Amino acid sequence: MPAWKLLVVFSWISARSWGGGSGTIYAMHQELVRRHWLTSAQFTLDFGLARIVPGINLLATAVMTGYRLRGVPGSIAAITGLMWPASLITVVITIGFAQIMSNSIGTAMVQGAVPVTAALTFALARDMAKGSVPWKDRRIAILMALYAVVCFFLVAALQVSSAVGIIAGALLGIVVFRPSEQRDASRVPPTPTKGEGGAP
Amino acid sequence: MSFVELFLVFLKASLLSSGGLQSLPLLRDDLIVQRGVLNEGDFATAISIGRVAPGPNGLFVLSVGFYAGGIAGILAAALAVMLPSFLAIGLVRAHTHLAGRPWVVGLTRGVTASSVGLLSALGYSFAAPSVAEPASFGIFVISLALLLMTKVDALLVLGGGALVAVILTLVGVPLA
Repeated sequence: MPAWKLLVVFSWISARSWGGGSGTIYAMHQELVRRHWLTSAQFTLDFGLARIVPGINLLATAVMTGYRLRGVPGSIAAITGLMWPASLITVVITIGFAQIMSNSIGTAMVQGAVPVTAALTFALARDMAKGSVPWKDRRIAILMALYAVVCFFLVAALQVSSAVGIIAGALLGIVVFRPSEQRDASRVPPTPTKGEGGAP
Repeated sequence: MSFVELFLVFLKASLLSSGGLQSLPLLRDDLIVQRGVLNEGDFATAISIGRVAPGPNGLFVLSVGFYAGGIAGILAAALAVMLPSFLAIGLVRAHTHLAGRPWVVGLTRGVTASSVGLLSALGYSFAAPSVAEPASFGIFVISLALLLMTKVDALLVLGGGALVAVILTLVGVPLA
């Protein structure tokens, strides 16, 4: 995959990623999975791992995707693409912001977009769960769903940092969500259950 | 402030935060409290712009950069938010190298489950304040149904929500 193609696709994602962070994740997930560049599971994993990286998590997610597809040039192309159209629009809005918000139509548009953004975020959570939980392994799937609910409460109700939620999930995963030894003895080397992440 | 000085302020905030809005208190401390380059109003406006504009929420720093140093300030902020993201390459390499080991499969599942929980928490943080009025709640329910049950483009749903909100405002229905 040539780096310029990554630059073009990420620029397209950036230009249509209205709705803040959720709009951006939604657009990235949809476009990358639709093009079969990543599985939904790989994207979900990168999105989670990016929480441990300092700075803006979505930029780190773009770097990870770019790197998986085309090494270091790919990561530069992906982050540059994700940055420039959104940045350009941000600058234009910065210059004209006073006019937009003093206008009742402008305020109404922003107010109408917020509930849609909330809906986008929930829809994305559903898509990610659908594509990355090993549903055939009932025990693991139920435990993962339980931790997703716990993580939701930790962050939404107890204001725990999302990086803590991810690290706790990773540690719990190593102990609880790993494939059981007996089953793995029959398939060496152990492969991820269908629909899960790993190297492309 | 010089380009280099601004770049270092933004880089520090970027390196010491995780997630778009966490850099806010650090930048506020450096640019308002310590140096007095900006005021609280500039920050409030920059955050609102970050919400309206496309891209990650953390791009509000570009507006802060603009208020603090014009076009050079935007470039300083953009470079500073992009650089730390490259640390993620180490994570991908480590994960690819170790993929398939049972403990890594477990870790991957743990991170995945957390991601789903985090996204739901994010959705909740948007939904909680925005659905107080019946009109906003209606927009939320209808867009969620469209997104979950049809293949309609997300951008169309977003545009539709904004359009409905404008019409409701014109006929005098409160949204928030």
